[in-house]
Amino acid sequence: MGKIRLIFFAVLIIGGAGLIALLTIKKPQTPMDASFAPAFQLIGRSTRSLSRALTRVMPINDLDEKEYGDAIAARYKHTADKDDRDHVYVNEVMRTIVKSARKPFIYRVFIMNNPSPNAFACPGGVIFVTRGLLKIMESESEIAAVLAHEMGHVERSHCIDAVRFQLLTKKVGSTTLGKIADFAVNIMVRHSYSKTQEDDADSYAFDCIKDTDYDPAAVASAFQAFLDFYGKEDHPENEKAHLLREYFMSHPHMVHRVEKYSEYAKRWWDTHEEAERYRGKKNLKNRVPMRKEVFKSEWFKADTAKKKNKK
Amino acid sequence: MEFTIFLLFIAFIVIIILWRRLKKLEARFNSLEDLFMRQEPGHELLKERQKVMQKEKQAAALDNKVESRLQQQVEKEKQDQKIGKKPALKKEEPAQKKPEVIIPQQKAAAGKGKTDTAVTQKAAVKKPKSELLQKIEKQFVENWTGIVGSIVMVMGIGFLGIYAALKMSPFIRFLMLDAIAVSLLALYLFLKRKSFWEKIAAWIRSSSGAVFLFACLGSGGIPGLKWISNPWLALGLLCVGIAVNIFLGFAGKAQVFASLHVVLSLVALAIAPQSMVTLALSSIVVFCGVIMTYRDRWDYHLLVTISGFLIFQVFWFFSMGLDAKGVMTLTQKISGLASIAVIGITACFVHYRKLYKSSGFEKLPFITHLMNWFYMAIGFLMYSTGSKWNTIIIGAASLAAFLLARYARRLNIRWLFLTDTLVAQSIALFAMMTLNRWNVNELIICTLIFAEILIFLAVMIHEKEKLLVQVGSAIHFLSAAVLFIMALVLIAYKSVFILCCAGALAYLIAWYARKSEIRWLFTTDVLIGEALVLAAVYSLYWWGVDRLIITVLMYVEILAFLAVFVRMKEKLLEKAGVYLHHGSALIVLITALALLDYNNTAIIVQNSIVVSVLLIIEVLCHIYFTGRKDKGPDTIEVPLSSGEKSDFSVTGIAIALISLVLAVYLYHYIWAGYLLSGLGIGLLLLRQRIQSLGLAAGMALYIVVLHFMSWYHMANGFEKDLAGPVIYGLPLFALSIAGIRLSFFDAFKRYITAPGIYLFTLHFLIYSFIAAKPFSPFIAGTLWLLVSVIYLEAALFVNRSYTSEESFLHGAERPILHGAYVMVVLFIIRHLSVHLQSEIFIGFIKVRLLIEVFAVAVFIYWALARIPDKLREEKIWKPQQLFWEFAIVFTIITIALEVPSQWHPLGWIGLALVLFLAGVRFGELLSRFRFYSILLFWVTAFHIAFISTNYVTPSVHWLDQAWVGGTAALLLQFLFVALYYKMDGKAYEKDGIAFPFRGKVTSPLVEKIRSRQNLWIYYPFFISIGLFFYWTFDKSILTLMWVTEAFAIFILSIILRENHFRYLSMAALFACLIRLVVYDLARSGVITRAIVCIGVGLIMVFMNVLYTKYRDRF
Repeated sequence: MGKIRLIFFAVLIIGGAGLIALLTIKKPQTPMDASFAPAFQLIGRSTRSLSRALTRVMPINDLDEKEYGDAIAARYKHTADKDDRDHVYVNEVMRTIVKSARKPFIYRVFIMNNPSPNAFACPGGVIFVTRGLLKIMESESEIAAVLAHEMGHVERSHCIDAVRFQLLTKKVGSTTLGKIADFAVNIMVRHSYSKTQEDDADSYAFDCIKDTDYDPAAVASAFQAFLDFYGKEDHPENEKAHLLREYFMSHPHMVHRVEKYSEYAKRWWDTHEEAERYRGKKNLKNRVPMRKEVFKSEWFKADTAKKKNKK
Repeated sequence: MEFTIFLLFIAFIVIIILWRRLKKLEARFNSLEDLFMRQEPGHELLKERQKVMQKEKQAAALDNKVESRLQQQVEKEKQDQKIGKKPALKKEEPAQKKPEVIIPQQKAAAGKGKTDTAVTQKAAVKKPKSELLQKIEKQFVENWTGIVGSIVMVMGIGFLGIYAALKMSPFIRFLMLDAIAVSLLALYLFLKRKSFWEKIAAWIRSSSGAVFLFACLGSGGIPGLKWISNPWLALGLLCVGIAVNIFLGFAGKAQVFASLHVVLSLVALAIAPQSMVTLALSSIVVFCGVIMTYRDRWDYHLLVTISGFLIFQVFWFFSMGLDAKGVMTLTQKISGLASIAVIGITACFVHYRKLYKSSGFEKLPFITHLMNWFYMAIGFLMYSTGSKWNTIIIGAASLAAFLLARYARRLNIRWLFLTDTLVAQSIALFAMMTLNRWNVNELIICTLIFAEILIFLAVMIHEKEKLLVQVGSAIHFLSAAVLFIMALVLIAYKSVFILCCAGALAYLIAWYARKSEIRWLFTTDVLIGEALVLAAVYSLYWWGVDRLIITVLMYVEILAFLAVFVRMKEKLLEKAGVYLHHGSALIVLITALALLDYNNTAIIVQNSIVVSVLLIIEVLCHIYFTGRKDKGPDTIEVPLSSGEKSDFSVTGIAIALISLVLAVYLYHYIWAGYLLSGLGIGLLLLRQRIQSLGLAAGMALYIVVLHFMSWYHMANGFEKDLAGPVIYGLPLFALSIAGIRLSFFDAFKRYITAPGIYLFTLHFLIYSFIAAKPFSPFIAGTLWLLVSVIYLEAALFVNRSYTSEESFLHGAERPILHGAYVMVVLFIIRHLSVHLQSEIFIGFIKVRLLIEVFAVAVFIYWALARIPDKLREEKIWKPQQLFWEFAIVFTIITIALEVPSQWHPLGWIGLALVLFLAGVRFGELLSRFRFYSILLFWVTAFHIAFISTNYVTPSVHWLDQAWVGGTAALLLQFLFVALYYKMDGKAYEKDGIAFPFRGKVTSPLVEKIRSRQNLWIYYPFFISIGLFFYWTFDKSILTLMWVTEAFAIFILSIILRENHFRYLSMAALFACLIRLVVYDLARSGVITRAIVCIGVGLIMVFMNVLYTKYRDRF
């Protein structure tokens, strides 16, 4: 064994032993015993990129998407009650975060009378939120996080990727063929990168919330609220690594999302000791957006955030 | 009426058949006449045939001539070619072709001849056809009267039948039937004189009897024919009919007629209302039928008669035999029994005649005789009175049959002797079975049967009747099995004494068989005796003895049995004893397992001691068996890979199983690992000393199962006890190390260390996984990766140090290296499935990143391993040469995971640059890196063009913007391209590009890239830049950006002295100018237009300057 190699060997052994010792002392844990979902998310990046490239080379653009979104909005416009407090409230929250948007869309939020908590985005900036979601969220910052996530789907073109052929064929006068093509593509390949897209939208939401006055931990706590609601269905103890099921999952595991964005929020608070952030529990309760009324008690600092994290 | 029509129809059919037979006969006469005519000389047909044959002969001769000429020609050509002459084929073509032309003609002629012949033949064939037609015609012309007459006659009969059916009274109908019967009889009397019609006449006679019987039967019981209302009178008439039929059967002088009339009579009796009289009549009929068989060897008839009688008996039994309570009266039963007995005995004695004298086996008489016994048995059972005195009667019958059999032997009817002996034995068995009517216990009955069969067997041995000895043995075995099962399952608590007696009897007969030199019977009876004695021991359970003690007693008894026969040198029984010994040990073990109760320490201690004693005995047996010169009775010969054979002692497996049961009893104690490993090491030492293959196999089983049990307990048995699994699993390492060290095999003349090394590795993997689990899921994978490095060095060390084939670690580098690879693979799997999901930080760095960096370092270490050249080509070392690739892939994964998306292109191109430079610098080893750098370069280009341009971030910080990373990556791409152009050519000339694997895809790709570098390297780069500009920047300044790109290409053309790029830059510039005119001037604002125009203009000027300066380069 050559000298350099011996040194390398020694460094590796010492380094490895040190690393193991560090892990033994710190005892870092994982949200699940095992899961292939993150690996699929990683692999999904390449298919997602190819899908993105395909949309890029097609002669469709943001204006086509906007037009599509406007059509959807017009279709659901009559369902929106301007006196509905929930409707007004979520649109006001949307107005707070929409300043981060880069695409030329008018973001509109519609309320759906569904007790199950959910939210989804359509091309062109149309977002749907269920009343169930408003029930399980604890603060305005969490609502903002969910809306930012949906906005992320629109901003990062996930929505247009799903309807690209429809938009393309619309230009030649027939959308049926496009719909079929989109349906086929979505059925065949979307599951390979849908988790990646969700992760992408999560990341966008976190960046978006960071740039507002809301609590960066709201992204994780919003996911936690989902996890609490669906509880048993997505509980780590019930989730064993399953190659096929995890491949076909549309979203990453909720526990992973909670852990990831809790950790990111923690890191943010560690580097922003003096920062003050707004939670907005009362705002949500009273359906009064922060941009209209600020409650002093909703502001908090790093020490409070750390205490909460420790809990 | 239906019956009349039916009779008319039958009559019509008979007439038609007779007429057809007449015609056929006539036709045969005619054809025979033809044949005779053709044989006469000068007949026309014969002449024609002779002519055709002559023509065929001529054609064949012509064919032969032509073929011989052709053959001569071909041979001549061959000779010409050999001496260099051109074959004058073409010139002589017409001449040569002549025969070819001729041939078809000739052949055609011949063919024609043949066709002519065929035609003639066809004509010859057709001629008889036409003759046939003519004959049919002639027949019709000659016989039309007969045909028409027949039709008219049948019609007349039909009308008569219809009339009779409609107008006549039943009595007249009876008379009509009688008239038909008489007519048939008259016909018989007429025909029987002619020998030709004799057979048909016999059938007609039988038909007349059948019709008469039918008329008699119908008179009393069939609606439409019934004219007698008094049943006794009707029965009397039926008796007359039957009597006539019996007479006809007797008169028929053939079995078939006799059987027919007996059966018809029985059928007629069955149709009549049933009473004791019908039973008596049927018995008389059958008795007559049986008596007929005494005329000759009428076995078919006898079989049919007795079968018919049984069917009638069953019918009679069910049609009238039961009273109101569903029980038959005693009188009826006795009548039935009497009839069965009379017929059965009469039929039985049929075969006791000198007529059947035979030393061989006679199939039909045997079947008939046996069936007679069978029917008698059924009959007796059917009418069974249920009396307990039947036992004596049946016993007497058995004795009678036995004596009859002896009589048959005197008459020299061997098959009958054998049959009746066996029947006698069967009846005797049945008599024994009826002892239950005397309230004798079932087990005693079974024992008596067993004893009776033994007596039978002894008699047969004494009489030296080989076949009967065999049969007796078979039923003896069966009775032993039944006794055994009865004793074990049904009434075992009473059976100890009885089974001992039975066992003693079996041993007695074994002794007698040994004395009579019937070896196989001796052996089998010893085993039966042993089985019965074992069953007796088992029966102790019903006396309250503990089950484990019983099994141990059985084990000891078998051990004693084995010892006796080892001493007697009875090889076969010794072998059986060994198997029994193994079996009993297995039963002890199963019982011990079944009685396992972890909550009862007393049981655990007691049974562990019992199992330990068993283990000691087995070990001693094993030492004894393997030490014997004759290889021992438990040895199996096993073929080795070298072609030799080695001894495999089964006791070795038994030792392993006993040890495993002990392990099952003790494994949950924390010290168990030490004790059981110690036991394993001791046994391994013993194996090494006595060189037992059986023990080796057993130890392999023991060690593997012990490991599994230990892993299971480590994983599940130490809740919240962090140190428990660590302490528990530690001694197993010593066991696998002992397995490696004590692995010398005389049979193979070397150490076999691989299993031990694999087990050691596996235990390490599982041990570390379980031990690390309570701390952190990140530890196990990291530890495996770290230890893989130690394994790698160990493999290299072993390869260097243990070169001698006799050294104990010689060749051990393979399993060690396998272990190392497995660890790396498991780390990768664990990283993907466990580590990847975590985003946890320790301090400022992610845990995942720490592990990834460590993994890349380990992979590089692996890749840098100095493998001796001679090993490089070995398959086992091939994966090691891919560790550079592992390191690169892991680096890529690390970048993808840990670097923000907007900076990915910078990461890819940075890695590409590093790889390219490494590939150039260490070209001998890492030339393939230059290829990988190109792949990364493409990825960068793709990312810049399609992903970076689309990346939207809500952040306002410029460092978060995608274009920043994209632009930086573009600059590095430019650097890469320049370096590539400058260095790759030389590097390729010097080192080429070599892969450690056979690159079916990569090598052609490398060739393609090398041949068209501009297309594969530069164009993707330029396109990505163009698209990046297009999608990133405002459309108004796009023209300027693209012109800048064109300018950059122009500069590249000067640096690289490539005209190609100059043209490209010029083309791009031209396109930009068009865009400027068409788009920018039309749509942009004034200032934008100005900036763009100025920019473009300046760039163009610069280009011109540069072109002028460096014109000589182009």
